Amino acid sequence: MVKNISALIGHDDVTKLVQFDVPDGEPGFWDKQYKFVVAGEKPVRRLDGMEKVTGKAKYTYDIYRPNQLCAELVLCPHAHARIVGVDASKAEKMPGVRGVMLAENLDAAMFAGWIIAMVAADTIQQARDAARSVLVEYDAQDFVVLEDDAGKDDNPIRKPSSGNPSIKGDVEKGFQEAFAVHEAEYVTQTTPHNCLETHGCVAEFKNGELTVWFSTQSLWSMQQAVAGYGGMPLNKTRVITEYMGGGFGSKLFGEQFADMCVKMAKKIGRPIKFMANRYFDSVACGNKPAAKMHVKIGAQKDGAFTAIRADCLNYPGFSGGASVATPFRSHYECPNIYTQETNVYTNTGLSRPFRAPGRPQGSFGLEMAIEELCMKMGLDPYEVKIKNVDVSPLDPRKYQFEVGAERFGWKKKFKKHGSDAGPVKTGVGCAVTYWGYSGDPGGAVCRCTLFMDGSAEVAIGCQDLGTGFRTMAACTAAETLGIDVQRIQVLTGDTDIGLVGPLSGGSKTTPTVAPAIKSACYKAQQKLFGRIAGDWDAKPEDIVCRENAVFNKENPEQKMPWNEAAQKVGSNMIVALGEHIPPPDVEGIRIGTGLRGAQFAQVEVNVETGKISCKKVVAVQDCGRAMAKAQAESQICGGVIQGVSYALFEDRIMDSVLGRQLNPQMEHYKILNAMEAPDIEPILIDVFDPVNCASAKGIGEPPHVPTAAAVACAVCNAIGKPIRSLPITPYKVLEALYGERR
Amino acid sequence: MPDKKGNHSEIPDGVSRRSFLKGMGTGAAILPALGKTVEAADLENRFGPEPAPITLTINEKIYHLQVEPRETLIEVLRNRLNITGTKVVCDNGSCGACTVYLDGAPVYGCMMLAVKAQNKQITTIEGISQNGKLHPVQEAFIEADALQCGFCTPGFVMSMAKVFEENPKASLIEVKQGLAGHICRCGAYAQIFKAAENVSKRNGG
Ligand code: FES
Ligand code: FES
Repeated sequence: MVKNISALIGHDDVTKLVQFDVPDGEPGFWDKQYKFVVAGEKPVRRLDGMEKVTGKAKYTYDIYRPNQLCAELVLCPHAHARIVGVDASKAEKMPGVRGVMLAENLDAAMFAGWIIAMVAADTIQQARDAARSVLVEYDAQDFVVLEDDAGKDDNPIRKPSSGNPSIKGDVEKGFQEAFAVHEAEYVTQTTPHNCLETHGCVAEFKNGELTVWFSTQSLWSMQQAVAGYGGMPLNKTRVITEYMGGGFGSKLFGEQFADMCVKMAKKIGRPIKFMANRYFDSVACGNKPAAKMHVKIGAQKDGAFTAIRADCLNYPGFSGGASVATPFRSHYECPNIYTQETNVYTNTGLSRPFRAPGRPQGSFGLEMAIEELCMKMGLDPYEVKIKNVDVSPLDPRKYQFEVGAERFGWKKKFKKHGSDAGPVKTGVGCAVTYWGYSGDPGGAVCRCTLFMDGSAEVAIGCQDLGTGFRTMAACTAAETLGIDVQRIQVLTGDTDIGLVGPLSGGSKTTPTVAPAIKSACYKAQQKLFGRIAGDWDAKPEDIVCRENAVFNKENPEQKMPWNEAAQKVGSNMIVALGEHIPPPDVEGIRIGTGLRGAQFAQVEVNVETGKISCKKVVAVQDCGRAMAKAQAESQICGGVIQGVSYALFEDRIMDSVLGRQLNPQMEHYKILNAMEAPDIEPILIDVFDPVNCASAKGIGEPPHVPTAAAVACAVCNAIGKPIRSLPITPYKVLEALYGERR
Repeated sequence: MPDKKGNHSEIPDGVSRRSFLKGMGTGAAILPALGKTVEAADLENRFGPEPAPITLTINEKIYHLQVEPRETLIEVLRNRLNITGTKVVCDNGSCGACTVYLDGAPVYGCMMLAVKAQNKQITTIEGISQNGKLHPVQEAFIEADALQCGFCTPGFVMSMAKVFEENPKASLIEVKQGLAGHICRCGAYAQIFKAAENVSKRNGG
């Protein structure tokens, strides 16, 4: 059984009325006519704010289990070595040491930081002492740690792997038709995630069950992973991630240290805690990989692109990939596009997804190429960029661009490249973002429980890595039920809840979970309204609750406060489950192909010292409809801050002689701080897109995509010279202005 | 010179400035200074390397415990006393996450040995709310959504509370200077500044 609904879709500026089917018993769609009361309206206090500001929140890092041992790793100091032998006999006899375990794959170490062994001891000091006393004999091998030394063809580590090119139209023809063509190479750096809570876990076997507190973005796949490590059935394996100090993509995977922790905990019979130190976290727990992009772009006289070509080399470490070419294909309209990617390997820690994997790199190459093309042609890059996103009126891109430019004051601020007087020159830049919509149909099952006192509970087996997921869940439930958010309790962060949820990656948590919550809450409330409908001689689906008042839509005289209605719940509670069931993909009811956004950055560059400061960023972003506005804005600001930090400061430096990272400690690895933070103006633009019943899309990654590119374009605009590699340092500014030997 | 194969003299992992200084610090306490003879009393007062008794006053409570002399104040708080609000992030004085007060002055707890914190009043994030009421800075953080993962938050709160204790109407630039030693990886700075503005305004600034 289905019911047909009509909905007003589109964005603030352009809308369209459409009709589609939803399954009977499922909620309708929050379209443009539906005004939010709770969700996305006034700022809602973060649900776990209290625990976090008082220091009461217990992160994995804070877990202490009775009788717990501390673990430390023995790491290979060489970039590439054969392991001849390991002698742990001395370490085993040291005070407090309860066990030493050798890693499984000990033939060769592929980078400095490779795990050799784990030591468990009563205190962390004892574990560290013992780890230092494990003797390892290495046979050091040739290695390559610098991208420039890693040949595209003759690489001693591993043969580079080339992907098939992605081809649209005919780029050669496109370049012939162009009025102007620009071609250059753009280079980005490697940056570790540096989540403030490092990677780690606590493993405990008790009463025949395994419990692992794990700083992870993926509760459920971790349950499978640790059950495998411990040889335990899944129904006796529990993973808990109540609070988490950031992940940004680096904590999506099973971990060798967790495997060793679990196995040792089983063998020794005591809980074991391992938290990575900053060194290990930096060298071995993931990074945003470097890339070299050879970019060619052509445009007609008016700025319309005729062809884009990008040949990309990704440097993901000793294995893995990067996918930096996506932005060249998806950010702007162009009839002829050719992209190709090759992964080139080095003896460094492997890359992992980092907030929109590959996109910030590609965005930098693409937007800088456009910037330089505009500089050559004497065009305003804003005019050129907006021309190339002007597709259909329902697509929000052009509108977003206009709103952002207006708020930023682009028309007033833009001057010809390098024309500001100085010595402190101001410059502006803009860039767009794109993220494919990625909710997982069936990827979450949520439970809503209504209680007779008018309170409600929603449960989801998911994790809040700091994104505000809990708050988003509460707001969605409160909006659906039409009651205050304070009445909602959210259960999450524990596989024992027994309800599957998505991993927190690909910005898919909200678009998967919000519709499931809406569905569960709607169904639970409909059960309750079924008990009122008889008295009112009404149909349950005509009864609604808004702002704590229950009434009959057909006869608004019939009404009662929510508290009174909730008494009909009785002492048995009302429980319902919900899932994300996407509306059918009917032709014409989808808006664009994903999430869009645009950012505008303003920088000041001192041409005497080379110092660059990012002053302001205006970030326009679509996330469908924001379920929790304040937290969604925080996500935008966070993406921007990491983008500015990436553009101006962060850089993993490898020593080509030692083969090791020179700056694994935060003491030497520069991250943007309070003094360097720009003024940020986040602008959420509602897009009413029936991808799910809540019109919810994820916002974790898209705002991080264009920031570095916008900052780089702004620097180019300020000094009139392109800087083609990240990070943009004072040295590079002076070099660009005055040549290599000033 | 090490050769290209990396066969060079070993550099121990993660030698940070702090562990070097720590080594120096404790060393100085047990070794005779050059050119001087050791006083008998010094040997009696010799401390470590095995655990030794110390007394700490934390959030107005007195704790007697055994620690190794090389343990930092934060290690002792967290690992020996399970007072875990304060975090260690960089462990070498570059991020501010471990900020606590010593006799009312903010210090990086990761850079200080626990033995050195004896006879001082130690205040941690758990101790700055009074009579179960949140400190105004804590309240402002929640209100402005000045936290995401919250891992940096205890440190930021401690430093900002100190800024406003010294100047209740502190300006934004004073706040930024007071927070310059802190890093928020999630990038909550805009909201943190908003929280500061609200506190300052409420104080008539
Ligand atoms: S942990 Fe002490 S300053 Fe970073
Ligand atoms: S809130 Fe996550 S580091 Fe600041």
